[in-house]
Amino acid sequence: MFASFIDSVKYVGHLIPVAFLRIFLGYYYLQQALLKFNGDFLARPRLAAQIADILPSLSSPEWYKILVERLVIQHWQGFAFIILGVEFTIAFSYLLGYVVRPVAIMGVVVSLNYLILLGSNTDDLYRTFIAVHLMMAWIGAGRCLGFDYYFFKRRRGLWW
Amino acid sequence: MKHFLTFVALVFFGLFLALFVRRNQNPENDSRPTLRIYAASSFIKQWGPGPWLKEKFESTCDCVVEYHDAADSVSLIQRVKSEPKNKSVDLVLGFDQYDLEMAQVGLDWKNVKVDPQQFEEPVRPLLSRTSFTPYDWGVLAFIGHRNADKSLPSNTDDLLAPEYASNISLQDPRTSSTGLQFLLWLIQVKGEEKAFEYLQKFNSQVKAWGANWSLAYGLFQKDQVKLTFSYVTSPVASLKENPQSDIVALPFAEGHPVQYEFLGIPSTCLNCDLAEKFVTLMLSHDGQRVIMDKNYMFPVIKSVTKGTMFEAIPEFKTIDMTVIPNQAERERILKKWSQVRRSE
Amino acid sequence: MRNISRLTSFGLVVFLLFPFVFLILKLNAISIVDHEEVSWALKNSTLQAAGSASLALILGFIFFSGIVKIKEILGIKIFRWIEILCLIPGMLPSLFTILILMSLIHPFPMGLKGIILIHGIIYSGFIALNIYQLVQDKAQSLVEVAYILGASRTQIFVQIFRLLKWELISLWILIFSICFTSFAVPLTVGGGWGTTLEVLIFEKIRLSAAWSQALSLALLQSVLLFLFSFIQRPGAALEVGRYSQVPILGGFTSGLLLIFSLLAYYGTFLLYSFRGWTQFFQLSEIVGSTLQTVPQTLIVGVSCGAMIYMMLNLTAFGWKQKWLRRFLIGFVAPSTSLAGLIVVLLRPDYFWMQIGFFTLAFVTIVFGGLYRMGFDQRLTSLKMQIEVAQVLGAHHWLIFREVIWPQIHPMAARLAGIASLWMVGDFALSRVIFSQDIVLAQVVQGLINSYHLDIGMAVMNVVILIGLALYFLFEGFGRVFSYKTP
Repeated sequence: MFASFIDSVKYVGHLIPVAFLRIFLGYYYLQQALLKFNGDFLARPRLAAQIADILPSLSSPEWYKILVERLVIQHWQGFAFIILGVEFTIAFSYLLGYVVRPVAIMGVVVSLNYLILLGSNTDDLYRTFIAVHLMMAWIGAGRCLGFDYYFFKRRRGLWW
Repeated sequence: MKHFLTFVALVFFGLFLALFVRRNQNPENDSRPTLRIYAASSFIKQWGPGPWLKEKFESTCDCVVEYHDAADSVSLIQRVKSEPKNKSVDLVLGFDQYDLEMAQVGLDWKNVKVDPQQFEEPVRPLLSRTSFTPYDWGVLAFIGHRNADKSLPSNTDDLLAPEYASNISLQDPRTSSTGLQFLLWLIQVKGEEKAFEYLQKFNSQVKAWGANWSLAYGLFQKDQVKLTFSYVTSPVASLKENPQSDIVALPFAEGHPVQYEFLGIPSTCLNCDLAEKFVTLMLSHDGQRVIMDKNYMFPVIKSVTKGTMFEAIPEFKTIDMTVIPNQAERERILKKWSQVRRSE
Repeated sequence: MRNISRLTSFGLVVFLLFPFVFLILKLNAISIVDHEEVSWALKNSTLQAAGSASLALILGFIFFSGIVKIKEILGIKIFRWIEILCLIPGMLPSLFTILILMSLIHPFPMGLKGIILIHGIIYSGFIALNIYQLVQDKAQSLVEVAYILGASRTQIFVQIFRLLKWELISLWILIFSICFTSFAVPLTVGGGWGTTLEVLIFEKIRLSAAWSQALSLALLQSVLLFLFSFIQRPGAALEVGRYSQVPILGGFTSGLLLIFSLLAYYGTFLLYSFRGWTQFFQLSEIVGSTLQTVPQTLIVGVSCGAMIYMMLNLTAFGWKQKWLRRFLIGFVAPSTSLAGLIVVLLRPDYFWMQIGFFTLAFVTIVFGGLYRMGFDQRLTSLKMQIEVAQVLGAHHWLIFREVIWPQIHPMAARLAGIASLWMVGDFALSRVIFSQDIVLAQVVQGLINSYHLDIGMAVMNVVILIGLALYFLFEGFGRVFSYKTP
């Protein structure tokens, strides 16, 4: 498996720039996740408060607003844990180049939600993230300098 | 798909573990003083009064309240005696009147300053008799279902009626404090000889002498028996879960035994001031209200029951519990009781 | 290598005897208890334990026949579920089992009969599984040959009984020792028969803090059970046979009886817990407590299972020491109440210390029982193979690695899984060791003790799920890491 990691440079070397982008994004997510882990993200309802403030002015569908109000804000601690877990998942997946495609889709979903809920200040950032995640998924960015190459060689298919 | 799901599960599990380890790291890193309280488990559980008192106290004291669950009063006393000086217990909750003798062997306790006038009448005499302070109390009685057709038992002799044969659950006095209360109450109202004669007949009415309160009450809750011996506040607990509940406490002509729960501050406490302040919180109106609501026991302070479901509980005639048999006497009585059981 | 084996065996014995030695040294005295009290309690303990073991064995045989039939008709998947359902009654708190059985059996017989009935039903499933395992390991050829020779089912059963006589006696003694030290069931339903030695120990501690008297009673209990174990003899050798004819031992009626019993038992339990679930989500404190204790329960369960697995392997490593086998067959751990005293005296304060203590204490209490649950028989049945290996010049470590370990590993892993399952449902020990709610069983206990019986039953479902997850984890470990035939 580790040999494949190095082999991937030989056989899918054209993806190296994307691999660096992937690793950089993984590192960014890891930093964000660690900041949340070491801070009070799980202890205080900051995200819930932020969402509650912005919710009335959102132009998203009604069902989405109801869902957010009844589920996310009420059970903010559970969702905070899930968000933290997802960020760590994206971080480790991108850093290792393992199951990058499905995790990238997960990243798209999370970025989309952030885009809707966190206000216009961070619009551009999350739009960029969505584009990058989609590109990661499309190209299969885990194949170069990642463990996905090992499985890609043997199993092929949509997941790798 | 399998790889993806396994990976996500692993990451989440790792996060769980990391949070868990962080939560359980050595608390000595905190520089604030720690108030160490040993209490019965029902007090400190999440649904008991403990968490509310802890949160309320920590918001004003600039300290950390640390609860320690002691399995029973004997373990509690043993732990208090054996704690090292730097981890001395500051406050102990959960002794009943029968534990006080054992608690004073080898241990000194501070006198807690309280204002007797704020206490309920039945509780006041206890304040001068012991260095322990009561923080709640309960009246014990037989509990049954309200019956429109028949009258319910109103004295101990009614319990011998054929309809109650194998239809009563009680607690074993050797293993349960409530059971012991029942036995001593019987002796107090009937006299020792008559009480044991009564027990010979009463045994056939008892379906089970449960090892503890929850076993006996559980049999009653699941309609395995018609009557059980519990607290007069048990119907309130039942009403909270089910407003249609028809469970009632049965007033007996002979009067009812009372159980008090005491707190004490050992003389070896490290944070004695904090302990006294915590006691003040416990004995405040709000503190007593929470203890009453969550422990389902009567408050010791006046006027706390006003406007609550507890106010509707009728007044039960209680017997004077001032004479508490000492340990040797209790052992003698229990030995006699065991002999009665042996002859079944 | 032989010295290392001796050392590990000695270390094992010291570890298991540590509670007694520690208490004797700390308390400095063993007091005599009134002989009338003791003889009455001893009589009760012996009668109810003997009756319970006998009933469990009889029901176990009937249910074994049912299990075989179910496997034949319904297939291996349903059979695996039946296996699990048979193990669970042993881990439920006594209150639940008493309530379930009292609601199913009207009128419920109190007294000695009541104790025997409850114990017998609790352990019958477990016995059935053990008999099934024994037949698979040692009697398949016998069944096949008997069938070919035209023996009837009854005749085959008689032959199985003769072949596996000592194994069945071992099982009987195991259930006897478990029931001998039972506390809540005899006290609650036993009536005048309710005072056992265990109740007496609890009474001495609780009422008069007479620790030295309690210790003397615990020692008496252990010595008696140890002496009792001398009845046991080595059983039949392991053999390789074919399962093909074993289904003739299956009985349709037994199968129906087993399914009906399981449905009645679990149906009642689920019915009781259903109400609890509707209340569970209304009380956020309880939801929080439950979730908080789940990872901790998993950690403690895994550590207990891992330790049991390690100790069983160490025991197998010391196979040469016959005295070790004799000791383990008879060893009975001290009462939980005394374990509580040890904990109080040793003062584990920090969280990880408490987890460590709990693991060690729990392992000490259950190890003897688990060892006698077929592990000893498995080890002794390898005697011939070991002798052959020795004659061929293999040294101790090679014999352990190539002969013993591959054959005991799946069983050791399975027993570790059972230990985890039991640990998850343990109430008594967790109560005395942990000063906060660490494991889920404490949450259940707290709920039962505070007017939340229904919610307690509901949360018990989560306890069972966690126990099963751990059981499967260890069982899977046993299967995945075992030697496979090429």
